[in-house]
Amino acid sequence: MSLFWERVALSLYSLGLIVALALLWRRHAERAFLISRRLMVAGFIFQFVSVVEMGVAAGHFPITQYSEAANLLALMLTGAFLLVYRVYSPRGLSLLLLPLVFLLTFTSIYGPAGAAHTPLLHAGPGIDNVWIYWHVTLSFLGIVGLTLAVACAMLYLWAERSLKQHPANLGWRLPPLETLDRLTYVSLLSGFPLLTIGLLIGFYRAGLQWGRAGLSDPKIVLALMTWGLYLILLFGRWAAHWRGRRAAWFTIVCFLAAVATWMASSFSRLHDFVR
Amino acid sequence: MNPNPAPIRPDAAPEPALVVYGLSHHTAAVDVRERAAPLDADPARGTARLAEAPGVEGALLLSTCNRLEIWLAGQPDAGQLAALLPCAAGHAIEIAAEHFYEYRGRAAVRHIFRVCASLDSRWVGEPQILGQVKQAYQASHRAGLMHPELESALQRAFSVAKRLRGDPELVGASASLGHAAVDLAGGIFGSLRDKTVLLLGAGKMGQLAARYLRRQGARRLLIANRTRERAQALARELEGESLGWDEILRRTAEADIVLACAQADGYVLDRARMAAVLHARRQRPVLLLDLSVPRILDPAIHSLENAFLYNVDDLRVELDRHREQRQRAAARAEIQTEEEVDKYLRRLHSRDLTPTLRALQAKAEDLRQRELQRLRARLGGLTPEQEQALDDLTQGLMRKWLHAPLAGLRQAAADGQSAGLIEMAERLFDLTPEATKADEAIHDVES
Repeated sequence: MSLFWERVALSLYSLGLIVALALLWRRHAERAFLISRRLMVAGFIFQFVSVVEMGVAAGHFPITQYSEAANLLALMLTGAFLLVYRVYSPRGLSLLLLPLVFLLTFTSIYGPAGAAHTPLLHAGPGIDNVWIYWHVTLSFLGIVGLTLAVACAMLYLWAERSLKQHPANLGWRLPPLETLDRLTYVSLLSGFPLLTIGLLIGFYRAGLQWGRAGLSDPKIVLALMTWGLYLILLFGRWAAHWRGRRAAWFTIVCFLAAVATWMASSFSRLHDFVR
Repeated sequence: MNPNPAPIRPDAAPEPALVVYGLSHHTAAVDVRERAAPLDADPARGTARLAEAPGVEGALLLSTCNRLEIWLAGQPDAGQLAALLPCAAGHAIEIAAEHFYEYRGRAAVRHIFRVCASLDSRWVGEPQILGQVKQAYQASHRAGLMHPELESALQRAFSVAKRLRGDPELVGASASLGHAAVDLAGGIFGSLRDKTVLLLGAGKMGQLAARYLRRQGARRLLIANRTRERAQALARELEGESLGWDEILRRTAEADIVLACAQADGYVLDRARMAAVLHARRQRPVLLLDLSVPRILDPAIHSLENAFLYNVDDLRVELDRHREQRQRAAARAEIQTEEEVDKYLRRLHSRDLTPTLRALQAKAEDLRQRELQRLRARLGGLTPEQEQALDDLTQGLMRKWLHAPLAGLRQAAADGQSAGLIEMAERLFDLTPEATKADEAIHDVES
């Protein structure tokens, strides 16, 4: 399978990251945001081509290998960022998301399972793989919502700290606290139903395949834990009016749980990528 | 900066008969100024009372939060001046004499120019003062108190002020507080569009900041002041809502921005109360700016999550940036004002001289015509060429002869030394009205 288009996307993301960091170092924040955003747009186009190419080459929705999953997640993340940018134009968000997109694309190409090509799912007899595709796609979209939320939460903590400590000399302006808080909430709200449906499909599919044994799998346990934390966070925001710093820290905890779930693939016996 | 330093160039010329008398924020603290404030805010009533005072030819009463002044035409003595202020204010003013100042002649013109150009204001460059002077000017007109000498100085001062207001740094600096508030609000809320501002204290500083915030789009304005009437007046002007001082705690939860510019014993809002306010607001963030000295918002509020409290020192960077601009602009404006005062006084002197110059020219022309007439009678019929030659000759002689005295008089006027010379010229050239009449009589007899 050719990784040419994905490599082009990776080059654009790398270039964006290097130029943006250099510009930020020289205190040209505005240009850093602009360049990182434009290179993300260009990278998004080539990454989309590479995802389509991967799917065509594999003959199925490209999520069975780590390389495919990471590539798809990076694409979704960039797409979601561009969508959010059109509505809220949050300055600085691209700088937080670009390293993550870069990391996902990089590990997709040079990662541990990049070379395997076995087109196989752990499907039992008579079980349609479509469930898996929906499970992964919706869960990924949920995770994208959470990732956007955590990027906004981190920006919030940064901006809040600046406002508390150096009120009149922010150097360069971060997005307003209210915008960041609202954007965090909107991202969480959008991600939660998708993640919930994705996980429900996953549980149903796991039940079909492994029965009760699947429930003790570390990846599934961690996924449940992440979902529980996510639910507490949303409930806290909705009912107890958690805002600002507290909500931002809780979002980060949720995201760390999601990262742990993602990493759990490497030590999960049942729920692993195809190697 | 000393509000009225000594004139750049001591002037030997007789000065305009103008006097400024009063007190301002430079010489009197707010409690002193409050004791001197007129009974009613309407400048027309104070001016009307002034019109009834004996011996006042022309006067203007300027009463603002920061000053109470009378601008007078004429040369009243100190006793008369001291009696005029209580008369205008409508009550006895028991304030030590050290709080009052008095400017006469050139210093008075300079003060009027500086006040109109907002160089004498507490917030240099603030735009309200010119409007207040114009209001006082209209009140003075209506009361029949506008003397030509005072009017001429005022018209010039208005035009200079208008020109100086073109300097964006001078005008922009006036909004520095409001600007700092909007800057910080930008970091927290982004836009002020749907925000409510609570103003504690409707003094000048608060008014300026509130106006700026309103212009920047703040949706609602709640104004609390110890004197409810002042809060109501500002609320009317800015389409806000006035609150009593005792309503502050109850209504703070509605405010996204709290702007404190008032005097109070102790904290109006402490940490515990602010925590309750935040709870009532469901933790929506609040920006609090405490510009009062001493502070009236508990500094511990800043440690609360979602409460961002800044005092004047915290805004130092922002204000300093504007202060530098303001100082630069004010220095430029001071120089221009001095030049304008000089120019105005020169014009005033040349205007005094104009009748003398005209009279001298008219007298010379009259003399020439009479001599020509006499010559024609003696010589009989002259050809047109001879007539023309005679005319040219006499005109040339007159021009050359008058050139030196006219130029000398003009130069003396420009140097501000015309008054003595005018009298001298009138005597030397016999230009008094009586002399002119006598000349005409002789002419009639001769013809």
